[in-house]
Amino acid sequence: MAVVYNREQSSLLFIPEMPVTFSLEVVNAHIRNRHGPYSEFRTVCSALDRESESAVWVKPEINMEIALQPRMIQFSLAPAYQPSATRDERNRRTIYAYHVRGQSDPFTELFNQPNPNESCELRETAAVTPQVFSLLNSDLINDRSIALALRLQEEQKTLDKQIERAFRLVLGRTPSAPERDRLKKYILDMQAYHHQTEPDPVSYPTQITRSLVEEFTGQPFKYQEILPVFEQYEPDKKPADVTAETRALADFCLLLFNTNEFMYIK
Amino acid sequence: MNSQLTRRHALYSLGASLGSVAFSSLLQAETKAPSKSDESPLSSKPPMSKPRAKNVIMLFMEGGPGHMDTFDPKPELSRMHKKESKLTGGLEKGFKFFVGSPFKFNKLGETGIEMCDQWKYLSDPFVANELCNYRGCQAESLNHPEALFQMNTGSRLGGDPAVGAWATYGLGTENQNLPGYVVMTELALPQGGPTNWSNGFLPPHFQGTRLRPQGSPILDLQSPAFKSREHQRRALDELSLLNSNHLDSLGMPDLKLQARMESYELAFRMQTEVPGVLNLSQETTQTTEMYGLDDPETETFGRQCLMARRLVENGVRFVQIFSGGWDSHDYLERGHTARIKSVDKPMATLIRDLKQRGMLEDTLVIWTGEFGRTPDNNKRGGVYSLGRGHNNHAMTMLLAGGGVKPGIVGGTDELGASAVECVHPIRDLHITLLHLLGLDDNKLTYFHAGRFKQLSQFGGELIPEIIA
Repeated sequence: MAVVYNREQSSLLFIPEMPVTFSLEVVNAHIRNRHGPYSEFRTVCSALDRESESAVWVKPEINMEIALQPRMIQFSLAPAYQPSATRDERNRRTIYAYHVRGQSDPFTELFNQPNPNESCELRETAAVTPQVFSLLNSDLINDRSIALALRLQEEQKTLDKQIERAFRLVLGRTPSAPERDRLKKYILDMQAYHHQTEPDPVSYPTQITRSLVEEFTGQPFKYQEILPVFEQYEPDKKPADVTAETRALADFCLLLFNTNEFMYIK
Repeated sequence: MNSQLTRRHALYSLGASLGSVAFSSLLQAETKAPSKSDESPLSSKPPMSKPRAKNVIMLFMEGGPGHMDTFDPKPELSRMHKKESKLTGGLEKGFKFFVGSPFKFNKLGETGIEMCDQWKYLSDPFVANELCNYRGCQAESLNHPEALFQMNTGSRLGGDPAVGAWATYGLGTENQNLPGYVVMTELALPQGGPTNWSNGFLPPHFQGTRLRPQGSPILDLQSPAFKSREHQRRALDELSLLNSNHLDSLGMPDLKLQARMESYELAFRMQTEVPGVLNLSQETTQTTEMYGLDDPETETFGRQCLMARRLVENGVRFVQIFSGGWDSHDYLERGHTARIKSVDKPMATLIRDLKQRGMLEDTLVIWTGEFGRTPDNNKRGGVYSLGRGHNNHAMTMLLAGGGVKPGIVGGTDELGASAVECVHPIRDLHITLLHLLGLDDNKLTYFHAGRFKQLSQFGGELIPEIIA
């Protein structure tokens, strides 16, 4: 297949083991956003900022060795992206994430990542609706919330202490008494809710169907691509792996990750 | 002491004065900034001039359809079939020979537009009479990703805002509960991937939202299944309270923080609105069959065309559909026959449907590839391979509705090697598209990296011949 679609391009692009052998650029943009008091929008996905990263990727979960994870998909038939199999390998710092020049990542773009083609004198800090979908509903943020909830439960026994610890870790302050009381009620309500729910266990496919319109025939063709990493994949803790209490606490953690207070540095 | 004005000093002060002009206009923009936080950047904005079109549906034939095999017949090329070609400029090397089109052509309708005989539905006069076939456009790159980037963003490099991003930046969008710029692809992305619908240096409000062909159409649109809508509502209420308290504690208003709070409410509304618009079960069987949803060969593109109509109907500004497989270096007859079949019925129905609903006047439909194809080919595997290479000197496109004048505009030479009449670069096409939307490319700018940038990169001219 590689040969068929390779006519007009350098063959380099088609060697599956080295999909990113050209134009790699290390993007380090966290020094770039300085304007206005609350402008340092913390980009959760690209995690370009040291402080925000340490809070989002909760400490016991994070491997401080940086991750270099190129994900160039040039042409249509580059191999599918596969994450690292183990949690330790996967949950690494991404301060210096590799980005491929000329290849945009819609996810990081959504969080205002500057174009790596040229220097950026001023970063956008726009808050747009699709960011909300990522910050409320994605596996990424829900997994982080559960990880923080598990850490809180490990470190503190009572709900009051857990709330205090969460505020300290995420917002760097102590909750006010009304805040603590209200959020405690929220967590208790969510405990009641989650006792009624049974999340589905998560399973990952070990092969996927790929498809492309083939130029020799003009017809679509399909093939199976195996994803060997998922044969021994060690997922992050998922909703079905934890108790209703943890899920309720994770709801609260998710709230904190979504607050303006966390997202913008004063 | 030397008080002479040095060249360096003159340039410096010139730069400084230009800079201060830019700065004062930015300040002006700042003071005119929305006083109400509900004026989102995607709010509908008045056009700069009287628009001919309000919405755009762009059908992108990725790979480069052969103009001489679709809408631009070349009888001379058929006479030269398999004779040696000395043409240069393409990617092919060695012995080259001309390839006549395998298809017969017909002149159609009131405008005498020409089409190969594979277009069974588009050739219906009700549809064909609406079409403008522009033959004068020239691309710059011979390679797919760069040519795709140029047609979609105005720059071969990729990374600049897409046409759809500029259009929504200039006009906003009608329906705040839907994305303003929507992109549909096959299971495989076009070459160059999401760079083709990037917001570039524009704020991410204007990024193309890709509807996924399988599964939930927008990634993470819905919360995980075990969290109910009531659960999400409660979470948003709690979040809103935390954010309000935070805002109060600052002791001063902050539009940015307020806007971010509102984006959560908008997201909550979108969660119900989007699935409704995308739900095709509201369409009659007659309609879905007209679009070709009952035939596996037309099903994908048909579904996307029908979706495009529904999105535009519901106030989406710019819809783009990518359909691949047009890169016929070999077996052109087989490849193009199948590709034409896969898009013919759906796009003909789309134009017919828009026309019957009175929407075609306001909706500009564009059918184009990233470049055209060469009149010749080289021997491939030692045999006369009947296909074509990439051609950035000539291509063909269709435009319909939205202020476009039906008929043939421009022309290529007798072999189809190069555009020779009404020749324009892609930037002029872009300027014309913006013009039809009531936008002026020279005024639709964004200050980035030290200068005001625009879709055409550095200006250009209109193509008046295609405007009604």
